[in-house]
Amino acid sequence: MCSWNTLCWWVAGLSLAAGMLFAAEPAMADDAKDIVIVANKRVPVDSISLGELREIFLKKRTHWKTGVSAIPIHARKGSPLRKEFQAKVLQMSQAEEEDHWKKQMIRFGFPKPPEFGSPLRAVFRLKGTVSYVYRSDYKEGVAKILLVIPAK
Amino acid sequence: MSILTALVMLVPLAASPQDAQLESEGGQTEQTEQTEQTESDRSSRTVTMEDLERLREEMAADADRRIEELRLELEEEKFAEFATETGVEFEPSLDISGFLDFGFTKYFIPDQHSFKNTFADKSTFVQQHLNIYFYSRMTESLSAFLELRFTTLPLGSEAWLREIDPNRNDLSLERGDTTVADPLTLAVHRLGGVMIERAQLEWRPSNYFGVIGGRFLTPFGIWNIDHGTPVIIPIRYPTIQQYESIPLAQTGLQAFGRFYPATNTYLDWAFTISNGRGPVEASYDLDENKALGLRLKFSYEGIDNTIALGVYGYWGDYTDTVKRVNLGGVPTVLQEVYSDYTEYSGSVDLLIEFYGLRLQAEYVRRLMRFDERPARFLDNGEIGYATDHVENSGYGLLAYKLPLHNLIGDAELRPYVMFDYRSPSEIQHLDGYIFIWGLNLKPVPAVAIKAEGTYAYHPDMQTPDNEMWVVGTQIAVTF
Repeated sequence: MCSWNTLCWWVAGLSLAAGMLFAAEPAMADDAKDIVIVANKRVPVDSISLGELREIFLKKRTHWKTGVSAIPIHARKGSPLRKEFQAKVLQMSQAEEEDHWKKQMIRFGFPKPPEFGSPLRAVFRLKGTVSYVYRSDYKEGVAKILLVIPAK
Repeated sequence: MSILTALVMLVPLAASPQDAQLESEGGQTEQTEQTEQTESDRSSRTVTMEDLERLREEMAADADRRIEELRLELEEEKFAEFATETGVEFEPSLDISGFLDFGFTKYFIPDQHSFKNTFADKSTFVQQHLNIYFYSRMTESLSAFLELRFTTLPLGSEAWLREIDPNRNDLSLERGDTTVADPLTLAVHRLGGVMIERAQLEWRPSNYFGVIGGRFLTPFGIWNIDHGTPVIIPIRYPTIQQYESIPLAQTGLQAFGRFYPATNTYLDWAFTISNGRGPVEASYDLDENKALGLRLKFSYEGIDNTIALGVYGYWGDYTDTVKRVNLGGVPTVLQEVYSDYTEYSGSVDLLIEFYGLRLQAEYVRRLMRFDERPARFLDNGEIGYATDHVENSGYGLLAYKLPLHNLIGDAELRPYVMFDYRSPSEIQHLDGYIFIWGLNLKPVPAVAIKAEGTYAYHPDMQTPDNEMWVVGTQIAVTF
C-alpha cells in the first residue's frame, strides 16, 4: 500500500516530467522548422554561404568550386517550405522567381530547376545536387548538411 | 615510383611462409640458385627507407580511398530502397519552351517624307515572333540549345536589287510571293519560313570556362541578349538592332566564362571567332578572314539593385561575290568580288536597376574601310560608290516599376521612355532621332502587354517632310 509520501513523490515526479515535456516542446518545434540546406554526399564542399546558395538556385553559378555541376532542386511550388526558401534565400516572391526563369529561358535557354515533393530523396541519389528540407524531414546519413537557416 | 613498380621490387623480399615451405621441398640445387638470384637482385636494386616510406604512404592513401568508396557504396545500398522510391536518376533531358507575340501597328508618314511607301504604313495586325526553344542536357557539362523562329516571311518581303546601275536614278523592289497550290485539292497556301536564331553545342566544365560551337547570339549589349519580346520592355527595337551595327548572331566558336570577385559580383568574359558578317555567313564564309570579338562585363546584382557595365569589340571582314558563267568557248565559272570591307566596331553598355527604376543604355561606334566599293543607293537618295565612314548609334531607356503592389498584387506596371539616335555616316548626313514612350504591363510573369508611341525626326532629310509617327500595341507571352 502506498504511503502519502510515496504518492507525493509520484505526483511530483509526473509533474516534473510533464513540465519538462511541455517546456521542451516549443524548442523542438522551432528546431524542426529550421531549413536545412542539404547536398549530395559527393558534393565537394562542406559549407555554403547564403549568397552562394542564392547564386546556385538562380543559376548565376553553375558549378561547385572543384568543377562538379551544381544542380539545384526545389521543393514543390506553393509548398510552405518553398515559400520560406524563396523569402529567406532568394528574397523573391513566387512571381518574381517565375519572372527570373522566363528571362533566363529567353536569354540563355536555361530551364528552371526541377521540383520534387521530397527533395531529400533526389539529393541522395543525384551527383552535384543541392536542396533544402525542414530539419524534421532530414534523415541522418542521407545527405550532407551545408547550412542551417534558423526558423526565426 | 608507382605502387606497381615498388611491389615488383618487394615481392622477392616478402615471400610468404607457404612459399618458403614449397621452396624447401623443391631441392637444394634450385634453392641455392634462387638464393643466389635473390642476392643478385638485392645487390642490383637498392631500396631506400625513403622508397619504403613513400610506398607505405601511397598504399595507405589508396586504401583510404577504397575504404571511402566502399563505405559510400554500402550507404547507397543501405538507402537503396529509400532512393528508388523517387525513381530519380540522371538522364539526358529535353526542355521545350518558347514565346510568341501579336500586335497592331500603324505608321503615320507624310506624303512628302522620304520614307513614304518604304514601310508597310497601312494599319495592320502583326504576328512577328513565334520562337521555339529546345534545350537538352546530354551530360553534366554538355548541352545543346536551339532557338527557331517561325515566320510568315518571305511572304510579303520586299527585296532591294543588290546590284545597282549607276546610270539609272531609280531602284526596283520585288515583293516576295510564296503562294503555292496543292495539286490534290487545288487549295492555295502561302508558305512561311524558319530562321535559325541559335543552334549551339555548349561544353561548360566549370564556372570560369566554357565553349559554344554553332550559331550563337553575339554577346554584346543588353538588348541583343534579352532579345525576346516578353523580356524587352518597348515594342520598337533600337537602330543598333535594326541596322545590325554589330552582327546580331555569328556562326563559329565562342569561349566564355564567369569569375566571382565578391558576393553578387561577377566578371564575365567571352571571346568569339566566326565567319563574321556576310551575305551568306550562316551557311559559309566568302573569305578567309575570320572575325574576332572580345566581351568583358562587370556586374553587381543585388536583391533590389543592379549595376552592370559591359564592352564588346569586333573586328571582321565583309565580302560579297558574284559568280558569272563565261559561255564563250569552254564554259567557266568566274567569281568576282562585288563588295569587300573591313569593319572595326566597339560597343559599351550600361544597366542600372535601383528599387524599380531601370536605366539601360548602349552605344556602338563602327568604322568601315572598303577594299572593293560597291555601287549603292546612298543615304541621301543619290546613287554612288560606298565610301569609308564611321557610324554611330546609341539609345537610352528609362523605365520605372510603379509601386502598386497593394493595388495590383504581383502584377507589374512600367511606364517607359526611350531615346534612340543613329548617325549612319559622318559624310552622308542622315542622322535620325527617335523618341519612344509607352506602358508595359505584366499581369503575370508569362505575359507582357505593351502600348507605345514613336516619333522619328530626320533633320537632314531633303524632302519637305522629315517627321513621322508610329503607334503600336503588343501582347507577348512565354510558354
